[in-house]
Order: sequence, then structure tokens, then C-alpha cells
Amino acid sequence: MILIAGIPSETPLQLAIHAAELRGFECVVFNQRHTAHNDLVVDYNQGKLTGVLFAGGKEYRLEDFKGVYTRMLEAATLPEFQPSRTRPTDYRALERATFLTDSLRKWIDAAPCRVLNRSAAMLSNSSKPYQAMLINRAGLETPITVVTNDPEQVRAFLAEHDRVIFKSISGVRSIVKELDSERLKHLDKIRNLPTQFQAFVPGFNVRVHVVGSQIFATEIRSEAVDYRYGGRDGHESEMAPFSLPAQVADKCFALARSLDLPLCGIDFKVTPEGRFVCFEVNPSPAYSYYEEATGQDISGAIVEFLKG
Amino acid sequence: MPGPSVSTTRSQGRAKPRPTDAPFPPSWRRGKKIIEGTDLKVLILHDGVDAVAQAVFDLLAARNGSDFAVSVTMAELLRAKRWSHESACSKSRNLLTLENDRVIDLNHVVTFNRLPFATAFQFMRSSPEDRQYAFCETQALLLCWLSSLPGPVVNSCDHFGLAGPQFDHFSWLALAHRAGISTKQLSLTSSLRRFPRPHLRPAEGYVLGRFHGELREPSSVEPASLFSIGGQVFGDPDDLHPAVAKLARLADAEILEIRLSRTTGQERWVFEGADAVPRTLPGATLHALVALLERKLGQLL
Repeated sequence: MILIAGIPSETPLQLAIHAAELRGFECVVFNQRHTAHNDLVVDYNQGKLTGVLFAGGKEYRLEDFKGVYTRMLEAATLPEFQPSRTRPTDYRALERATFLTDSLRKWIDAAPCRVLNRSAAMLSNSSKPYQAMLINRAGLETPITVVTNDPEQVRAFLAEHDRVIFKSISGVRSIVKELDSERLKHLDKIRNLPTQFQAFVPGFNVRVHVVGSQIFATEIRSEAVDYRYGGRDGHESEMAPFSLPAQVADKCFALARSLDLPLCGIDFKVTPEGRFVCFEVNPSPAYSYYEEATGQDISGAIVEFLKG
Repeated sequence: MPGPSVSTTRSQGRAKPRPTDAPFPPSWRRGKKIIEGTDLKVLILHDGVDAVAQAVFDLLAARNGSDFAVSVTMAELLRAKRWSHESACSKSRNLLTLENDRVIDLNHVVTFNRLPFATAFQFMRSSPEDRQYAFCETQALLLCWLSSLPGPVVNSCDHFGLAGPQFDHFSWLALAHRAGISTKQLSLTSSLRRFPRPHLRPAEGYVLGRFHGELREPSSVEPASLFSIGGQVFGDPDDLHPAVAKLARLADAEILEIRLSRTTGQERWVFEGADAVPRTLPGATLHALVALLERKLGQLL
């Protein structure tokens, strides 16, 4: 029996639920938007973690779950808790939903079963330069980077490299933009808060999804600096399965293991010289975007991993 | 007035070739008043109201001279004129330039880290969203900077926290159990009606919701604290020293305070909690901590 937690209408969860049904795996869905009708108890006693989840009108023992796939959001961000003109926030319901979500997350983080992914492991993505150090330790190349709030240092960096892009350090509000002549006029604004600058890496994008011992590589061809938001600038993306060199695949597996992220999306640029330059490891990848474009059975791999 | 300046550079990849007689990037030659071959050996990082950091600084100064250690608060760090981590041609250099133009060569110091979570005090007048963004960015910056420090660090950071292991209570309970320390029962229940736990009480300091809450075994009357410093354990009961040392090893913590309690007249001590950044340290543990820092210096020499 596997547990899938989050908002089931979200495509990554939708595909995983469908993949479980196709394979005849028993799948329990914890719908975050139904916390008013769900209940949970988690018990810890001398090294044993047990409990009961009440969802969909039935009770399930937590220790019976073989695997968990979670994409839970903070309860406060759910639509039903946003105030409107006709209805204020129900703070009592929000408090209960927050407690239930946090309790389930605590159990998931400590559960002995397979988990995609534990929230503590996902924190490595909270600092991109920090994560880059971990990526380097796995033997993968990362872009030349400077993190600074000194405009003079940025100008010196720009003089050393043909093209420079910039983005946030934490990943919040992070859309990659190129440092062009127009943005250079506002460079002094970085004195308020350090920003991350990187030498532009030419080449095409490859997204690698690691799911346990399986790997799926997708090539993305796009003119956009950040293909994830290329549509905003009128850029289309084309995707196709990509054959990853064995050496790079081995390093991807090693990286996923070192980060304790059995499910992750690793972003690369492949340069004209054939070098693989790694940008980041996404701990909660929206793999559905790539699966729907290429037919790669990532959702199948997810439920197979959870089943054990 | 120049604002704070923080920079780290990682040169994994290809850059334009540098002149062979200039192994370091030109930006490094802008550093002024570089202190080379000084007595400064220990950098203490803390939040500004830290009795342990102050006590360690005083003890180091008494044993080695007033220039042996420097104490830098979170606020001073965030206002530093320049942080620099650049690497090129297999060489690297880390410099910290404080507001008073004092430059600390981080390649030659041991760092004693007691920084809590980042603050965003410079954005107090900004919108809540901008403050939250600034907090996330500052936390990310500090995590990156602390991870890149070249010298030994006591209370090193990881993505759980800036100083030492910052696990949640369940994780500490699991580790304490593995170390052989008795633990209390704990329940998280979203419905006291559907899942009652009448033998448990609300956790200390926890306000029970109308129908849900965190429940624990009732508190015991007799408290105790033990301290593990670099593998050495201090405090009573001493028959728990091996278990406490094991817990510190499992948590990968060089400094750890372990809180226990028991009911008066009972033999059994139970685990209450652990802290990698204890707010106070008894005398013997303080000397052990300073000795640990001095041992770490040996790794630099």
C-alpha cells in the first residue's frame, strides 16, 4: 500500500495515482484540500513510530505504508484559506489544517518506509551556491559563479565573461535573466541584497530525472535563457528523450544518493564541446511536464520505487 | 557610504585565461590592510547576546593574548564591507573585511560558529513579502558562506541549520533511542475525540487546540543536563556518559547539551531534548571547549 499526499488534481500526483491504478497497486490519497474530513494520529514509543490516518472515510495504519510520495503545500497557501471579500479566513480551520499537515510531514520525515522526498533532505535546495558545492563533490561541473552585492565586482566579472546571467540565491523569485545593457543601469540596486551572477553557459538543456535506480534524460531545445519561463518571452520548447553518457548517469545517481533525494530533477546544459554543466537539483520536480512531452514513464518508475 | 559587500566566486568551468604572473584574480589585489602572520587564530560568530561566546572569547584571550580571537556578531557580519571567496588555478582565498576595515584571513583561523537563523533587520521597513524574501536570501547566503570556510569549523552548518545539527523532536527521539537513552511517549493527534490519548498530557509550553494537539508523558520532577564537548562528556548521571557520547556521535555534533529528567526516587532517566548551541556552559565544559578549539588549530599548522 502506498500513500500519495498533496493536491491530487496536480498533474504530477495525478499521473502517479493513475500509474498505481494501472499496475493494481493499492494507493491511498491524502487530499490536502479535504483536511476538514481527515484525521491523523502519530504515536512514538521507545523507538517505535506508529499511527493511524483517517482519509476518504477509512482508517489506515501508518506502519502499513510501503512508500510515500508527497507534494504537500503549506496549509496557509491553500485556496480555501485565502480571504475574500465575502468570506474571511477561518483561522480555526487553518490552525487544524496546519497541525494535521505538519504532523503528517513529521511522520513522513521519520517513517522507515521509502519516501519521495523527506522535507529535511529537500532543504539543500534552499541555497543554490551551497547546493552547487554539494554537486561539485559528486564530481559534476557547475557554472562559474559570483555571489555579491558589490557592483564593481559584477562589472569586473562581466568583463571576464562574454555573457552573464543572474538569479536569486535562495531560489525564491528565481527566474534566470541575462545581465544586458538595460539591466546594467540598475546594478546599484544589488547593494541592498547580494545576488548570484553566473557566466552564461552555451548549449542545450538536459533535464535528468532520477527515480531510485532508474534514470530518464530529456533534451530541451529552446531559445529562452530560462526555458521554464520561455513562454513569457514568446519562446517555444521542443523536448525529446536523450541518451545520457554512462559516466554522467553514474554521477547523477551518486548525487541523488548523497543528497538523500531518491526522486530529483537535475538540470544540465550540454556545451558545444560536450561538457555537462549542472545548474541545480530540484528536490520536488514537476516531472509531468517532461513525461507528457516525451512519453517517458517517470510516474511508473515512481510507483514502482514506492512499492519496493 | 558603501554598503555591505559579500562575494563568493566558484570557478568550476572555463574562464578567460589569466596572466601567468597573476595567479589570483585582480579583485583580490584590491584588499587593503591584509593581516598576514598575525596572532589572530579564532573567529567567533554569534548573535550578539551570547554568554557562551563571550566566555570563550575571554578565556582564549586570558590564555593566548587579546589578539588571539575576534568576536563577530550576526549584525556585524551582515554589515561587513566585503566577504570574498574566490578560487582560481587550484588556489583559493577567503577574506572577511569588517566595517572598521579590519581584514580577517579566513584561511588561517578556526571558526567557532554559534549563528542562529538569519535576520533581515535591514528590511524592517519593507513589505512582509520583501522581508521574507530578504530573510530567505540572507539565510541562503550565510549557508553558502559558512560551508565555504576553509579552516576548521566547530558547529559547522548544513541545510538543517546554520550552527550544528538542528533536528526536529522526532529525529532527536530516534537518535536518543539508538544511543540507548530512554525516551518519553509522544503523540500528535488531530482529533482527541477520534484518537484519544488519556494517559498523556499537553507538551510543555504547547497550547492545546480545541480538538487536536501534541501530547507527551507527564513531565518528571528532577532535571539534569549533560554536555558532550568533542567526545568528552560532563555532568551527572555519569553512568549515562557512554550513551550521551554515542548520541553526540550519531548526531555528528561536536558540542551537545542533552537534557534529561526523572521522577524523584526513580532510577530511569528519560530524554527531554538536545541542543547543539547551549545557552550556558558550566566551567569545566568551557575549558574543554577552548581546548577543542586549540586542538583544531593544530590542523591548520
